[in-house]
Amino acid sequence: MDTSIAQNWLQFHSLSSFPLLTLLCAMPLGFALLALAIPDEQTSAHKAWSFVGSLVTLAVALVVLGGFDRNAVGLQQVDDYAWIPNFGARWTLGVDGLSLPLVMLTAFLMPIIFAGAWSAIDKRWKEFSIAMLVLETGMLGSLLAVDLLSFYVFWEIMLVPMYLIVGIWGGKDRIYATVKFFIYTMFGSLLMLVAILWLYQKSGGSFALAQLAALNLSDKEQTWLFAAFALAFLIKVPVFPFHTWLPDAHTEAPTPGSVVLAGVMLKLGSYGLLRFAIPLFPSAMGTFSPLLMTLAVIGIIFGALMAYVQTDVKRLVAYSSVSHLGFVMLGIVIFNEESLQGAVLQGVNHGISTGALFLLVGYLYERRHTREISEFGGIAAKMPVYAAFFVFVTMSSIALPLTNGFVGEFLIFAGSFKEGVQAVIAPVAEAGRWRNTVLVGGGIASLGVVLGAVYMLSMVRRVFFGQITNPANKALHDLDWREKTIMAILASFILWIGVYPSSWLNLSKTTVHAMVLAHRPAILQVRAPLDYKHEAIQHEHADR
Amino acid sequence: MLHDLALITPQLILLIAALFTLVADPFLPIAASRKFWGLFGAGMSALAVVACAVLWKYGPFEMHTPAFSYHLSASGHALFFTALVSMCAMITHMSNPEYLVEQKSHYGEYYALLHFATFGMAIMVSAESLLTLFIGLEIMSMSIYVLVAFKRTSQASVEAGLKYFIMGSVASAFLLYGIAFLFGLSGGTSFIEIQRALLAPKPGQDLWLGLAVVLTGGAFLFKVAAVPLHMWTPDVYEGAPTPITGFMSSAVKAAAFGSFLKFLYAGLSGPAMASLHLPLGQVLGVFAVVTMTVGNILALTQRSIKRMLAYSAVAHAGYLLLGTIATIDDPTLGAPFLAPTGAVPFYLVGYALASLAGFAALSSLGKNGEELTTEGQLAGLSKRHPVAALALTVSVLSLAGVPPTLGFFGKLQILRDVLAVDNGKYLPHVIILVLNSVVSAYYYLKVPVAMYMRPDSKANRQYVREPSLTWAMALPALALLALGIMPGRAMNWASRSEQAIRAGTESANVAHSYAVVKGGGSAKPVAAVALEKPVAAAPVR
Repeated sequence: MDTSIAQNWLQFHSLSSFPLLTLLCAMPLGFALLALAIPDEQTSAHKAWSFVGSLVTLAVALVVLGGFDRNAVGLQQVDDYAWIPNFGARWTLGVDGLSLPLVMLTAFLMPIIFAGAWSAIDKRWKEFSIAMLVLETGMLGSLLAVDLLSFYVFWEIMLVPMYLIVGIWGGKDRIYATVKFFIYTMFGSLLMLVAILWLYQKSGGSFALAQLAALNLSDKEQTWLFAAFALAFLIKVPVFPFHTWLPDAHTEAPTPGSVVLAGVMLKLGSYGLLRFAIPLFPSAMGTFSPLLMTLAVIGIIFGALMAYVQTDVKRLVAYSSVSHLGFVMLGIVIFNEESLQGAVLQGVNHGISTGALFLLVGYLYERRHTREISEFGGIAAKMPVYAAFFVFVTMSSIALPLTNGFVGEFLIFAGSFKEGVQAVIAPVAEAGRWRNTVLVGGGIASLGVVLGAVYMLSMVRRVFFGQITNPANKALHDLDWREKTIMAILASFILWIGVYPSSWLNLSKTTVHAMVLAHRPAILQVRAPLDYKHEAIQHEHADR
Repeated sequence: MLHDLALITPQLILLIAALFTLVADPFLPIAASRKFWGLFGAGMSALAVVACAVLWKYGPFEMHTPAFSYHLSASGHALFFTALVSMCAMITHMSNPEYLVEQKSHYGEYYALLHFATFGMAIMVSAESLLTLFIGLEIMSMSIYVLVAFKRTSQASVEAGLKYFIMGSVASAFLLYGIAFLFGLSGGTSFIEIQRALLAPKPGQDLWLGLAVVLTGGAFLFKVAAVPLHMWTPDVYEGAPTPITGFMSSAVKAAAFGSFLKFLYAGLSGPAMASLHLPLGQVLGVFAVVTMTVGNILALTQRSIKRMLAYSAVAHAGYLLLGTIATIDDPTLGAPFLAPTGAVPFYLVGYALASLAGFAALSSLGKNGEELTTEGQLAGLSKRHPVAALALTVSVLSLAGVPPTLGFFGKLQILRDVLAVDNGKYLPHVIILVLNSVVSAYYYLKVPVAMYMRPDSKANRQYVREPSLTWAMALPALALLALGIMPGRAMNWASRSEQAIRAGTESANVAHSYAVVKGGGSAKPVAAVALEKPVAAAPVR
């Protein structure tokens, strides 16, 4: 039973008779092409058209969700066609518990982003809506593709629209930020391309993930190929020390750009690790585990400390992303069921909460054209609804119980301490280095939660409470109905996941279970051989 | 004879177009000539493409179909490259008229020269002997020298023409000298004769063969602008009329690489090369790596977009040279590494389309004898001329190799094929190529940054907007995207082109081994037999 689950998780569970996933992927692109026909100056038509386009995409995504069997192992609703025959490249899209939460997040965030952009974007709406819709196609495609070449193509397609969004609608230093973003990301992904081609050569001409994952690679090969894949994904996440493009890009990006960057694009890094890097090179993952663990923990603490010293609210939120994604990375590196569930869920949580924070910061910026904390103070008196939403989202960001952030971080920590706790029970000498690393790392990481509260709450205090000292803030008006609706929807999601996370956790449960069965032994064998033997014995007992 | 003529229909069409233009132009009023010649040129070039397509589909399929007693052929390789250069000529003709009128250089001879250049290329890529190859090369080069200097009032243009002429002549002389050595060694000039002679190495020939390889190889490296023979590129590209720069960067590069491949493959292979102990693949690898790195680094600092694209052309020559490693058979092994995938011809399609789109867009900028093609002058172009801005953006993205453009798949195929050689022997080269792409992204991005992200300025509000020029930039840009999404068919064509060269070589090898088995005739009778009765190779469709 166990072995069949483990073998099947990258196989096709069900082929789709109707190319639904291709439709999902192509829908935004279709709307973008049709938007070309609308004249430039009809801004409201473009606003409406792109919003409708994203809603229709959401509807298709809901159909996908409706047809999803959450107890099945393997890829569902697969579209599999020949794409470039001379290359052996196939057009293979599929969905499973790993990608579905992120697909839903993407489809759900896009209408919100478009609605939020109505006031945030004040010029060249035609180009904006086209860029955004193409970007959505790229993101959905990267999440759905399980053929490495089509995945890579979608992965790169995301680059150009994002580059344009930051570069055209961004702030003062937008060009520096956007070129840095582009070059950084391209550097990582091109080395991944070489690795993909190496695998392709080894397999005798296939890009199919399941086939490549079954290859026999030497240790040296695994190490280098994993490094190439991981570099691309770690830059995207971003993990310390590859994070430097992120604060620049976030600060300069227009509000919708920041939301989509934080909400979805960063998750693609962690998704890529789980979907591609680890299944392809599990034992290399074991080799790299201590390093990745260290980087994740440094990222958590470093991001939090950097966030604390920022004077610009948006930059603060950007550094908080570095910190939060450190938790996601921690969950991925630990690689047991609890931590992976947490990592997948925390990806969605971060998309919702940080997306909401960026929108809120954007609202403030539209009113005052500044984001300096020192410019504000006491504005809760003038904008009570705004302040309420902001505080609520802050609670989610610092993982207060009953908000979504709590569930995700709790699961990640539960997983980490489960992995490390035997170091305490057993004599330290026997526990092995890995468990000590986990224990120490997890301990330091939990400090990050405290630091998160410190920087967020102190920012909230300085911006919202006290007396209004700056006369410019006296004329501030509160949120209008559109802004309230957007925030209300996001807030309800925060509460939903916080109070009843099972509806989301169940989506990924089976897939995560299968992933752990399939790859944890190989990872453990390298990073903690003693534990590997221990767990193997336990499994044998369980089987009897 | 008639059969022979039928096989070179595309070339004949181009020749007729050239001669007709030359003869009829004096009789045409100036206003009419401005309207007519661009259209006529585009039409005739398109007709040549159609002729290639017809021959490709219905022609005699033996890969090595010779015409005019082993001087020309209509093999898949010849047809592929003839169609490619004719397509480039078509787009160039479309972008010409308005540009020339604005630059005050509109003369009918221009079109005739362009046809002659295309004709020369078509001859060059269809050549089955070194003499025809040389004649084609000279027809092409002479026409291009004049075309480069065609803006008579511009000092830069004339200087570029002169520079190119002198340097190009030296390269031609080298080539001819090399051909002379090969003739001396083999007693013939056709590829098949040379191959046969080289199959049976004579004692003491190594020195002369080495000299021949160095001389001819140097000439080709000059034509494709490989470092250190690239010095002419930036000046010539910048000084030439912009459509001609586009034509050079697309068609001349395609023709040069097309004949280089043929020469490497059909001329320089076999045991003689092995006895020379010249690791051709590794030598080309060094040239490739140096060329791409130097090209990209020098491109980083350019302000003029034309000059920047000139250095980028050098860099692309490096990528292509790396691609040839996978194409040629390593003489030390005596057999090709790979199934013929046509990585280099395929890459050339993407590169040619990107160059055409980019330079057509640049042709539209400027008025009254002035070109506005520096980075600063592109600022805000997306507002003034959205089509040009979009075409130029697609072009540079394709050059940078960003999907879903054709340039990405070109690079992908080169990377794949080079990586496949000898179990990753060239992995360092591949990684250097990839890092070079990242460097190149930096300067390519300057173009969209200027056009989309910098504010418009009043000083730059001058451009030409004419339908045929707009199509000249839109068509290749659309093709880049369409073929970037579905590249399969173009890959097939390119791979058939490469199969054609290989089939030619293999048939020669087969003929030789057959003769050896039969009881060891000398090399001469075998060659004679083969010349009378071409060896049938496996037809590939």
